[in-house]
Amino acid sequence: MRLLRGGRVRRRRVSYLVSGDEQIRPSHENLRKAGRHVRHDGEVNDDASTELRGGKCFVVIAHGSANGTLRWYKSSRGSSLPWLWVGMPNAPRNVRLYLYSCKAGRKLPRYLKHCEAFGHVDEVPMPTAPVEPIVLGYLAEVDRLVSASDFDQSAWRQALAAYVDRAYVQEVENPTGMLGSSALLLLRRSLGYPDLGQKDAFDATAPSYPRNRTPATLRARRRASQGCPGPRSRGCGKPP
Amino acid sequence: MRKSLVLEFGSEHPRAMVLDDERHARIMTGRALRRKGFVVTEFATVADFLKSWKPGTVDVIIADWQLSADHADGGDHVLERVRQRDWDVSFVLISGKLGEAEDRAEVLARLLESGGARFVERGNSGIAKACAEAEALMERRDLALLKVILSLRAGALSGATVQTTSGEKVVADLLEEVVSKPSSSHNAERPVANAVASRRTRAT
Amino acid sequence: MSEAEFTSRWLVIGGSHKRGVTQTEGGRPLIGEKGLGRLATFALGDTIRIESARRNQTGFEAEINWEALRSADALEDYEVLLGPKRRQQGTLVEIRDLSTEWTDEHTSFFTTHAQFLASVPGERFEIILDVNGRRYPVDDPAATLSRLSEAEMVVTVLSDGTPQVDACSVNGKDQTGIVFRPLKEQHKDSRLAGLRISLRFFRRDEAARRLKGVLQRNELVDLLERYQGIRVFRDGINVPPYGLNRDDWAGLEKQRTATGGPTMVPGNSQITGEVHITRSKHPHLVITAGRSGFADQRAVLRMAHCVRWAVRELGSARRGAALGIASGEVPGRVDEKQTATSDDSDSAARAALREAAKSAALNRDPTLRGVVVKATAAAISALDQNEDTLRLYAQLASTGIAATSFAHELRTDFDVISEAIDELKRGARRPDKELIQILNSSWLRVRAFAALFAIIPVKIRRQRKQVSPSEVERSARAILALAPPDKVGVEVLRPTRGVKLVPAELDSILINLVSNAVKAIGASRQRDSGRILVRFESRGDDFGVAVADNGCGVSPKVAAVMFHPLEGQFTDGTGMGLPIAAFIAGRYNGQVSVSPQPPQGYTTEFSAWLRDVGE
Repeated sequence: MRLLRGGRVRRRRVSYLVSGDEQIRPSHENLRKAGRHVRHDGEVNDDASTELRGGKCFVVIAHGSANGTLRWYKSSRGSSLPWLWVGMPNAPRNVRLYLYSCKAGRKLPRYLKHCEAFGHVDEVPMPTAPVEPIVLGYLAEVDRLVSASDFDQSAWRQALAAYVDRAYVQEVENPTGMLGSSALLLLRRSLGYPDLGQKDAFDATAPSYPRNRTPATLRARRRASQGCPGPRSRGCGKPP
Repeated sequence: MRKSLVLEFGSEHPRAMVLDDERHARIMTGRALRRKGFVVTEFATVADFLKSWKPGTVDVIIADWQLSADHADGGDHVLERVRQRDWDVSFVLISGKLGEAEDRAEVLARLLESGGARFVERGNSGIAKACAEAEALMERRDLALLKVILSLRAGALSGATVQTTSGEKVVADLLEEVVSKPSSSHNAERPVANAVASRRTRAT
Repeated sequence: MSEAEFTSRWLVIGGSHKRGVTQTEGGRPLIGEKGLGRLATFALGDTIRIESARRNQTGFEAEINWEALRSADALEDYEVLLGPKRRQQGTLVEIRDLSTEWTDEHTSFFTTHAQFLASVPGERFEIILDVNGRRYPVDDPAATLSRLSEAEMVVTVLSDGTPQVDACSVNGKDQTGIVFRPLKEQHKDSRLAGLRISLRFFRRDEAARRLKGVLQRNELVDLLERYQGIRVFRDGINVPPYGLNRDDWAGLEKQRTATGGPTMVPGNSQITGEVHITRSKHPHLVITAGRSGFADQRAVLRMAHCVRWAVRELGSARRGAALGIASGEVPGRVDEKQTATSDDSDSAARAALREAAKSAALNRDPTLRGVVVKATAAAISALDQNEDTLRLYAQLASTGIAATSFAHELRTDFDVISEAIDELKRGARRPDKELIQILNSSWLRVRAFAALFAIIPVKIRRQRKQVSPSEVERSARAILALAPPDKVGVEVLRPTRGVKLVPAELDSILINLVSNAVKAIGASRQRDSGRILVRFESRGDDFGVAVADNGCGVSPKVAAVMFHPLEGQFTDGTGMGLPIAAFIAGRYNGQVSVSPQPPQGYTTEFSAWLRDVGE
């Protein structure tokens, strides 16, 4: 990110690539109506490396799976083919990729090591009715991060989770519709619960939920010298 | 209904299920709960109950202990099956049959194994007591979790789905995932709990 | 303890699932490992300071201020002051800045609690109370309890799950030589190997007598109340009774009245005991938070079976001691040899007295004859009264059995009625049809039950009289009204002839047979479509009553013992119905039996035949 004269931050353009799957429609239309630059279905090259290049930023919406495969559906073909996957030859390089797809975010970003890649570890809701406003709101946050900030997977995750959590609490306590909290809960889950304090929720070897974790303990501060009655602990106003 | 529950549920009505093969007891328990403001569904058999019940869509279940000659259909076994899919829903077992000490210890041991239920003996305003225990148990539920459940419940009851890149996520399934295990519940309620806690801290 | 133990066990922030603590397989947090709450010491004071050291190790000291901890922004922000401290083996706990003015009540609470926690069987703790520099020794309640006990037993569970009696004594006499009944196979659990159970039995009246002058009466009652029942110790520490209604050990305390041994005053006996488990040998026995108690309830159940077995065998040992048996088999609770019926002795007595009255020797001595005749008349009258009393008791027992048998069924109806009345009292509008119908139906059942008490104990029905066929049918229908009408269909075939007998005795037989039929239906797959048929038959002067049902039937195993008292098939029965029916039929020189061929559509039929009761 470069700081321009006048202190403005340069923003990069984000392109949305939306697969042609039936369950994803009409996300592409809704995104276009919301002002996003969208390439959809057959408009996208079958070869991901050809499509994803030139130092640009992309948000990819496609069917994903836990083994790190994103599939691209083309209605002209009537089927989907693997488009990004772990182990693919000629993987894309030097692009910023936000993989808005179910579950592929656990393994695929690591494989795309020459890219700035970020993904989700569970199911993600589509920007379609009736949860369209909620998902579009989330994607606006994604746009902000993807277009304007340095790439930092952990920081992005924290920021997005914080946004989701705020929206989630708001929706739970004051629902705007029947499914708002469902969509936000899916988003929260898909970001891997960074509020649990796990080092890296996208670590392929890490379990989804903490197991055999050492229980939290109170911290102990060592006394200055042996045997003398210690001073009062921090925070206590009473004299010894 | 207890004031705390009225406050917590707001405009929603808490939902109850009554499972009892004794027709009169089933009807009267349902009536008592409705008077308190519950939305009640009644079942005479375990099979009917299991067909209808969806985890997270009900706030309390009141079940008779001896539902049929088949012990596998006893109220305690129903509790076990419920607990496999909803770890924390309030559950009240009611019976007049536990006279023998040995039976009682076995019953209570099984209740404890299944986790979290109250037991009421018939014969001395048993129905009123069961309803009171139901409310007492509901009051003990985590408020943040309750808010989350209520926010998902309407979608679950209506069979709604959310579109994802993998297909359709049924909200009832999502709700079941939330209530099936403590870890899932805690993950779902944590932001709400933290928000409530920080509001309280700021207030004091 | 060491500093590491203190830090890893006592400073653990447990209980908050939001912090991702260690969980059991069932997903509940382990509270056995959290310790922070224990340091709160019932909020007796603001500051707690602990010093401790293991043998031959450098100790540590730590201090926690609860006010500061509470006011910290987050628990993780609070720091416990911790440092090395040279000291002898042991632990010192100081509670400072007491939160309230210390009163005698606090002293009493503290002392009672300390006594209870320190009364670890097999360990010896000395408790000294120091108040303002003055020391007061405190009694060890465990030692006092040991002095009270009449019978003691120690059991260890072997590697295959079999409990073995290591020691058993009654009133100081060794009873380990008697044959103890084995624990049922399905109750054994090899995971309990190494479990140790120790029990003490005593009677309160006897305890009071022994301790007279040592303890005041109310102190004795307090002591007995506090220590009654069974406590669990894990690695020497008492495990609190978590669980539903504090009933982890429900039923075991009730064993105090079911030990099978002689008890002069029912409800007077008491069991205390301990079960010792260890973390190393019984790792599966951990305690979870919240409502659950022990995580592995199946293991707890098996433990309870072992304890119940030990309690029963302690009863066997006491029974043996009372019968003077120190080795070999001890007879069961009902010993036929010791409880012979009076039938034979009655007849023998009457015959002997009559024979004596007729003897030639007596006829030669008019004075002696007069005395013997008077004695004969008095003895026979006493025997007759005895007979009448037994029959009356049989009738009354039948009423009691009906109460027991049907009461639990009627509990539902009582609940329905009380709820309906409650609704009527609250409702401003007219009651709806459904409410009225339900109320009527339940009330009819309750009334039918109450009607029994109007029939049987009535004096006029206890005298032998002529009973018409319609009266017999009426009795049968009144008794059959006890069966739940929505689940059991009933039919009565009116007798063709009347009979001459004690009506209350016929009612008693009918109650017992119908009660069994209702229970048999309830225990079968026909519980919602039961049928009972009552029919009567006359053969000469003999009169037969038959009750058929489509219930669970009678297995050969049950048939072998069903006429023995207390050997009933149904868990909610008394086990006395058939024996009483048989006793009453026996008064008419008749019997009760299972019909070899029940009527078509019925699984079982019991028949009672009464001789010489024709009109």
